[in-house]
Amino acid sequence: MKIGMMLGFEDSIKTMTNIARAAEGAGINALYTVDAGRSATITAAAVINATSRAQVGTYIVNAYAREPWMTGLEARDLNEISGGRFILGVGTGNLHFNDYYMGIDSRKAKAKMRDFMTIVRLVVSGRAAERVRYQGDVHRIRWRATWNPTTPSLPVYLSASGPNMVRLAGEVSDGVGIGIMSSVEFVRDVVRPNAQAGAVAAGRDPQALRFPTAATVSVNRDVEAARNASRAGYLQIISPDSPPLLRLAITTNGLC
Amino acid sequence: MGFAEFADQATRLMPAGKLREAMALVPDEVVDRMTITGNVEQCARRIQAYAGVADELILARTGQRNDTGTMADYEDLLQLISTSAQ
Repeated sequence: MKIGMMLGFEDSIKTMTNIARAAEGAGINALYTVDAGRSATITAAAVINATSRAQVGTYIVNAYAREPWMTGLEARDLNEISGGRFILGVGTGNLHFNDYYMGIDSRKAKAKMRDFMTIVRLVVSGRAAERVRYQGDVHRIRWRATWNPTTPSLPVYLSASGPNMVRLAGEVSDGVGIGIMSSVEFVRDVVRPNAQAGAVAAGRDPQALRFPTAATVSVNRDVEAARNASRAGYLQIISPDSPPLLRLAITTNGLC
Repeated sequence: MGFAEFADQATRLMPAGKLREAMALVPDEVVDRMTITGNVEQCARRIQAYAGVADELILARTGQRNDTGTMADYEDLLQLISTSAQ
């Protein structure tokens, strides 16, 4: 099993890079940073500099806080800094926090994310002097790369939990970033078939899609303490400020 | 208690700041199927359940009550990574 780790909730970037180094020593496959308490791309650069073998990625950058062109440029730079170890995970962010933090309505995300993903994937793979053109309903690009990319392309994942976004991820991404609190059954019976159907509909190879899955891990020699930490974490993570979202999270994922 | 009933109770208790009461209502199935929880051996078995389903399992650490705010807090997690990583 490939094991990755999510970073970004530590008390300092120094702590984050210390953990990254220790995790690399323990055999971690990839280390991921997040747009939450810190910037995913800036902290990814710090993690890249602290490591030498592991892949480093974002899981995820918030597409509502960024433009696709700059997101693609940052991904190119991070891929160059890391010598081709970079993975870009993109998502809509959290509906509730996008509104609360930035006053942004992110309810109708599908058209935006289709454009965003398409542009980012064109930008990360654009070769020197190659024209990059795309006109979407929400975003467009007219651009030409100055240099060749470090690697011909790099993996771009779209995080998704609802059925529409999962299907879109199958159409336009290299992999579906599956969120925490997803049971084995939910990933196997709901997410995978839906995303693969999206890939087929878009004329892509469904077997090429990747399914990186996040999971909260509460590990403790005291098993009851570990279980209590998971109970509290579960209740706190699913947005205590938003009862309808909490109920939705419990009833949709919880039944699988 | 079913999931729907638990959801109703939790959405009432959490905004009211009653975390302890809500915790007592979390079904064991939620902990067992939606999180990776336990000692290193138990967590390693749960991780293996995702083999062939997830291409990579990305672990997000849940803070523990006996955390010290030092690297020692990560000892069990690092052991779990060395046990599970291929």
